[in-house]
Amino acid sequence: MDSDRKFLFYVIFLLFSIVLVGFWSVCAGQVKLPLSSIIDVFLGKGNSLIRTIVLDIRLPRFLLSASVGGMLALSGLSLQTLFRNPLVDPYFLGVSSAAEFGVTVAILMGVNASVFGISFASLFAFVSALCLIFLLIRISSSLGVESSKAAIVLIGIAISYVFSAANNLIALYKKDLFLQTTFWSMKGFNNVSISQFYFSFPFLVIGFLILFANAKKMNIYLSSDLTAHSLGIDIKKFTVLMLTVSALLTSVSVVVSGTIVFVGLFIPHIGRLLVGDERKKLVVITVLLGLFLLPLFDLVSRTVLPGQEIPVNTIVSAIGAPFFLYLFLRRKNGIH
Amino acid sequence: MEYIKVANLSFSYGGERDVIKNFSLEINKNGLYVLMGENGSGKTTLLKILIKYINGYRGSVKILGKDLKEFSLKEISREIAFLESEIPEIPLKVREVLSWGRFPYGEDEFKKEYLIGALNLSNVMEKKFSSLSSGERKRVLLGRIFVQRSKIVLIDEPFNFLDPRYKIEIADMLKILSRKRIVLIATHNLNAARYLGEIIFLLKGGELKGVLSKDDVFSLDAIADIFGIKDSMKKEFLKFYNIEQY
Repeated sequence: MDSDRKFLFYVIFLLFSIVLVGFWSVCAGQVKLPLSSIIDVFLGKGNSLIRTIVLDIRLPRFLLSASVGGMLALSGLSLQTLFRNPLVDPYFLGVSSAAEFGVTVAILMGVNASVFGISFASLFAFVSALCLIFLLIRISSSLGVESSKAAIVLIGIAISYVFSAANNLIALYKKDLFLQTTFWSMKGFNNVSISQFYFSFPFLVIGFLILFANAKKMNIYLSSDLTAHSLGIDIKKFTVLMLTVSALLTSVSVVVSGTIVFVGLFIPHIGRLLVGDERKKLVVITVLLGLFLLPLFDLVSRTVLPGQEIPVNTIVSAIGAPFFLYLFLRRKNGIH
Repeated sequence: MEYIKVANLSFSYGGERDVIKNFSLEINKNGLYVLMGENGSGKTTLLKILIKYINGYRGSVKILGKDLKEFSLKEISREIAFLESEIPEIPLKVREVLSWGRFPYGEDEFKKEYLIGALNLSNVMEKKFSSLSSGERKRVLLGRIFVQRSKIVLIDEPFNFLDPRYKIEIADMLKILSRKRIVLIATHNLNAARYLGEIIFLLKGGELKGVLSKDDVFSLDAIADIFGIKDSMKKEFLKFYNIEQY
């Protein structure tokens, strides 16, 4: 099968799978619903209890987990491209510890309100992550082309340590606060409201469009800075673009669902195994895989044990970590 | 027309000693030109200045009669094709790498297919670039330069990492390339410079030490000076390169 037809096949297959997982997510759970009653709800019929379960609980949960999966997958892909390193993940730049710090501050200040369904804690997290992004971009663009990427990594790591230190220090004095922050960062897709989906989805769409439009540049950039420059690509602008897209998508996903591990690392890898490194295809496949896999993991997490929910991170780690090890060993053995 | 005109160019990295010193050069017609000097003599820096990868030089640089500073990055990438000395690891198909020659001005399929045939690349088109040997990769990268069709071509150390067979093939491609373009090569490879260069610029410590044309008799002392060869080693130098006399 030639590569274009293979690509088309995967796109259709994944779209179909996403819809399937969507229906399955809405049907499965404590209260099992038959497909016919779901269709009734979508047609405006059905009783109010079923309507509430479908429209206020399960559907928002599916939509949000899908959009977070897509965002983290794209975020990972753009960072892996920027650093030309497939072992980079979205939290590499310290976005999650910045967000946690924001939450800590919000809880410390005792603000407990919410706007449009987004809590103040989340907004603080978002602002804190935005500050980190801004700082990274400012510093990286003030440096020369050759040193900027190493600087971004070092600064990201340094800042995330500073944030964790601040978090730990506060936790030392206010133990309950530490628990609250930790719960916040592990919240996953519990108590999801549709407004979180409305908040995050535009970011996913814009991020996807930006990466798709820049796919050719991403391809060329894979060669080297010097070659890409000689073909007319402004490396500084490109770096800022990739950094902004990635950090913004990660921040939004942390704000709506806390830290979800491994998804951003290994989904682009699966995409690469399926369609290769060509970025136009890879961007499409990666976002579709994100939209498909995270809701699937979430579905497993809340249905595998009857009457009990396992944190989605546990499911993702249980599947993701061995996969990561497999990739790493494969790379070390040179079968890359 | 002055295709490349460099006058009194000086450059230093971060205010340290000058790696290019009061350098001048003029190229007015198509052909193969060589910048020859030892490693660290400023060859690569000079090429990086010409493609605007490095800024902040003193002196003047004109490309096609226009000041380099007036070119945008996009414009200069259309006029000047550049090949670095490293052979990058690119995990993409050869077809994709060749298409970069037309970036960002859109593809030109007919011409590309014709070139692929002429350069004998048709059997590797669907292969991954990073799965090819160094020699084949270099051929693909040069193929990209053909697709690019710019007036000026700069190539840094075209013969590094290559087997003799590919050295000859690449040299042949460079000769064809230079019929309709200005090809400026930076190299420390004495044999290649003598074999290819119509005009050879001798570079040492960032300074232009002399200009030789193809028919000039090379003076042993001048060449030995360029490469920092001591008097006691000159005899060995001649033997190593199997030269009777310059």
